[in-house]
Order: sequence, then C-alpha cells, then structure tokens
Amino acid sequence: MINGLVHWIAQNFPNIYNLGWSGDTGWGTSILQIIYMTFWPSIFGGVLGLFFGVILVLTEPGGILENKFWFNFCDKLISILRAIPFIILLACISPLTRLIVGTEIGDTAALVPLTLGIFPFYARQVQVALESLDPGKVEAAQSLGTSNWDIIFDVYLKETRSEIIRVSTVSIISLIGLTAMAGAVGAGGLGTTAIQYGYRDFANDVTFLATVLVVIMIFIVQVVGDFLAKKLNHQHR
Amino acid sequence: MSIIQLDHVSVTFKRKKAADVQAVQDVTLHIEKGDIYGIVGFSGAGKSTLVRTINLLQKPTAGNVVVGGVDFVEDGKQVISGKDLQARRRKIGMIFQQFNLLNETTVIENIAFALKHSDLSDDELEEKCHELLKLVDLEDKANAYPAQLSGGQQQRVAIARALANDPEILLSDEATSALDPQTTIQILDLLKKLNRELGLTIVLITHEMDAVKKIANKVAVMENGRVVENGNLRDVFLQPKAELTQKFVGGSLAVVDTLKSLNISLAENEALYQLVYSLNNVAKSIIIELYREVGVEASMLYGNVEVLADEPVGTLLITVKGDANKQKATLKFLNDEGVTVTELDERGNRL
Ligand SMILES: Nc1ncnc2c1ncn2[C@@H]1O[C@H](COP(=O)(O)OP(=O)(O)OP(=O)(O)O)[C@@H](O)[C@H]1O
Ligand SMILES: [Mg+2]
Repeated sequence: MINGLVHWIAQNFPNIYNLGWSGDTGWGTSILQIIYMTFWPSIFGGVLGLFFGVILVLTEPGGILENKFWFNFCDKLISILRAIPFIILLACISPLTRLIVGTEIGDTAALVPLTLGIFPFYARQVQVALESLDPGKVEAAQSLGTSNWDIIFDVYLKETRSEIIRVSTVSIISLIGLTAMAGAVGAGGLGTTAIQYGYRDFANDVTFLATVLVVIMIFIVQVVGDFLAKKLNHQHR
Repeated sequence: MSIIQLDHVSVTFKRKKAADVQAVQDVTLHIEKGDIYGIVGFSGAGKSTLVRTINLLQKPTAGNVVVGGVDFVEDGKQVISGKDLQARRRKIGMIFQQFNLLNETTVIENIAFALKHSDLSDDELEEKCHELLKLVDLEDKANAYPAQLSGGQQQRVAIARALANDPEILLSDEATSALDPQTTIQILDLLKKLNRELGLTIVLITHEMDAVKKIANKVAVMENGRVVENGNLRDVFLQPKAELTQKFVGGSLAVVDTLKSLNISLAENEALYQLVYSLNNVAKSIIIELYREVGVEASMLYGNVEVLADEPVGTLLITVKGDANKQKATLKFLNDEGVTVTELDERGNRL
C-alpha cells in the first residue's frame, strides 16, 4: 500500500519524490525540523510570554502589585520587540544567538529568534486574556486574605485558562508561520522546503505539498487547542 | 469599643484631566458587635467605597479605620502590614452583587480556596467545607460548578466561602440586588440566622429599603459621600429627619406627602399628632381608648403598619379636638401607653 503510493508519487511527481524522506532535504527531515522549531520556541516563548503577560497585569494601574516603573519597562520592551519585523530580527540578533546556542546557523540557531519573535506577541495576548478576568473575582480573593501568589495561580491563571489556551493556539500558529522564514539563517523545515526546493527550483508540486503539510499542522494545533479550551471551560452552563 | 470604627474617613479619587471625585467625605460611623447595620443611598452615593475601607480593599485618603480593635488606618495612612492585613481580612468576610465565585473550580473547591492558608489536614478541611455547605443548605451541590447553579445558590456558596475562616464581620455589598424577590428573602433570612446564631456583625449595603427593614437594627443613609442620617432602624424609619431619608423611606410612610395631598386645615382648638407605636405593646384601639379614658374625640387621617426587624410598628395621623388641658391629657395618656407622639402642623412639619 505505502509502496504503491510511493511508486505513484515517483511516477507523477518526480520533484517530490526526488527530495526523498530522510536525507538532508527529505520530507521527514523537514517535518521533524518544523516540529522542533515550533516546539522549543513554544515552550521558551510560552514561559517568557506568560511571565511578561502576568507581570504586565499585576503592575498595571489598578493591578494588585501596581508599579509604574516595572509596568512601563515591560510594556515598552514588549512594544519595541513586537515592532521589529521578524526577518530583520533574525539577522540582527545573530551575536546573541551565538552567545546562547553557540552557532548562528541552522535549526538550533533559529530557536533564539523564533522565541524572541513570538514571546512579545504571546505576552500581549496573555495580557488581554488575563485582563478579561472580572476584577471582582480578584477582589473577592483579596477579601478572603488570599496571598498574591495564590491570586496569580488560582485566580488569574486558573480562571482564564481556557482563554489562555485559545491565545496559545493563535500564538503557536503564528510561530509556525515564522518558522517558514527561518530558512534565512540556514534552518530547515517545511518553509525552507517550499521556498528553496519548490519555488526557487520551479517545482510547484513541492511548494504545493509543503504548503498542504503546513496547513495540516496548523489545523491539528487548532483542533487540539479548541478541544482543550472547550474542555477546560466551566464559565457557562 | 465598637467592632468597626470609622472616624472622619474620606476617599478621594484622583483623575487625570477631570476633577477629583470625593466618593466618601468625612464619614464617622461606629458599628457595634452583633449589629446588622444597613447602609442605603442612591447609586454613586459612596456606599461601596465606604464599606470597602473596612477591609482596605479601598484605602482611605483621610481618617482612621479600626476594626476589631486593630488599627488599619491612622490619619489616612495604612498602619497595618500587608501580611497582618491578610490575616485580619480572613476575619472580615465579604459578599458581592455578582457573587464573584471562581468558575473553574467546583463549589467545594471554592470554599476550600478560602482555607488554603490554614494548616487543617485534608480530612479536617473536607469536614469544614461540608459543615459550611450544610450551613447554607447546599450539601448536594458540592461538586457542581458555579455556572450550574442559580443566582441564589451561587450567593449561598459565596456566603459559605466568606464564612470559611469564622469571621466576626460580614460585609455585604448589594448581595441580593441580582436576585429575585423570593430568593432575596431567603438570603436575608440566612443572614439574619447567621447574625443570631453566630453573633455575626453584618454591614448591609443596599438600595432596597425592604431588605434593611427586614433584618437591620441600625441604618445609615448616604448622599454625595456623606452620611446624612443614621441611628436605630425604628427612629430613622419612622421619624426620618433628612429630606433624602424621607424620600427613601417614601411610600407608605410618606406622612408629609400624605398631608400635602389631604390639604387639611386645623380648627382653632384642634391639634395634629403623628403616633408611632409597636403593635406588640399597644394592642388596644387608641382612638377608642382616647375617647373612653380622656374624653376627647380623635379622628384618623392616615394609618399604616410596617414590619421593622420582625416588629410590627403602627403609624397613625390623628387630629384631636379640645382645649389645652385636653390636649395635655391626651399627650400624657399616649405617653403612658408607650406611644411616640409628634405634633405636626397642617403641612406635616414638626412643631
Ligand atoms: N476607582 C474609582 N475611580 C474613580 N471614581 C470612583 C472609583 N470608584 C468609585 N468612584 C466614584 O465614587 C463615587 C461613589 O461610588 P460608589 O461605587 O461607592 O457608589 P455606590 O453608592 O456604591 O453606588 P452603587 O449603588 O451604584 O453601587 C461615584 O461617583 C463613583 O463614580
Ligand atoms: Mg456600590
């Protein structure tokens, strides 16, 4: 069955077939690369984004740890980072990348700009998600003598978890979009396949398949995200 | 010493590009242990802001706040540390119009949340939570999520949560305003029960006079950030002094309005009296007794009965014909019977 499919592809779409499965240019390699470049920045960017999102909400005017200095600092930092186009960020931060991962080229090198590119976006989304919480709930918790720590975890994060999952989904999908540009620093992935081996080599079938695979990946993230968001939501009957 | 002492408390909100808002202005209010203290006033009067200074959800900009003998605020400066305040807040429960339950946790977890700091064992914690659920009559809903409950049930969970740390004080900010009349009565009855059985001091903000009439023993009326009148429920209700209070008390007790519409004129030897008395103490028909005992003819212009904190209280407007001696005897007789008498002119002003 698989053999039949491979044979059929070899016959009808030689460009796709010629890239192979497991070699440097292989489809399997690209798929693993894009997963690798999505997974780690999701984790690192997720932690950073959550951290800054929470700090923004706690320190904002009227927040439980209202602090003009830290609010302005984080707010400006996030705004500036968000304003830099990703493709420029990729190139500009190579010294920092070398410092952190020891190389400026390849999939691992791409993790640094991808993380830096996605976390400000995510932080803003987390901020909006947390701000959607009814301030009355925070006040009720305060009136019970709850510690700030518990308010952050049990009230802010737990109450808005389904909203946070929703914005995480959006952010991961954006991140997948960013990985397509990572080819600029010599990283692989389906984006590189589509552009290097498809578009530049006039192999439209390769571009098409790579695109379809990216779309499927996004679709899976969306479905899983929606499922979790719904499952963890008890806000309504 | 009063359990809640607010002295010359003011709260001013500073705003950018607009005049400051003086939400609370120089309010002095002492609330005794065991009181159910109603605070009424129209929207924006500053009721919520005032009550939130009691647990420092709102920091006053001036004045002193002492709760349970502990200094919270002195001369507008917070004098209690953050940690101590947290501990004290556990002894001051608060319930809200919108319930403010945590929707992603079950009913029992909502209550356990209030006990998170405590060193109870898991078993003790569970027992305590079930006790509280029993108190508010919701044992069968322990594992439901708040969104699955009716408003009244959610408010009862909120009450159980507010009582988790055995507070001495319960602040209630419009706790029944989102509920239907039937449910409102249930919640008020529950509050009354807690007051009676646990000695809980309750501060009850509301714009529904009926709620105050039903359970409060004292009441303060607020307008523009000030307390314009306060005192015992009966006094404030039956003999409101401030114009706003009269408006609020309104309805059946609007003696002045009644007189205006009656447009009466008193004869030379005729006097108009407002009588206020408890139906528990004065069972006889006052008009008949006046005729029989004093020999004066009284005619009734207006009569009404209000139930104030479970006590039926009657209000009568009567005119009495007779010379000065007869009038004197009338007053003496009424006073002896335990009736509070106020002489009014034709327009309803006190004489
Ligand atoms: N955080 C705030 N910032 C600025 N102004 C405020 C703030 N909170 C309250 N106010 C203002 O203070 C005044 C009193 O508000 P408050 O909420 O105490 O009134 P209230 O008597 O509780 O009214 P309601 O019956 O509508 O709840 C209002 O004019 C309100 O707009
Ligand atoms: Mg209010």
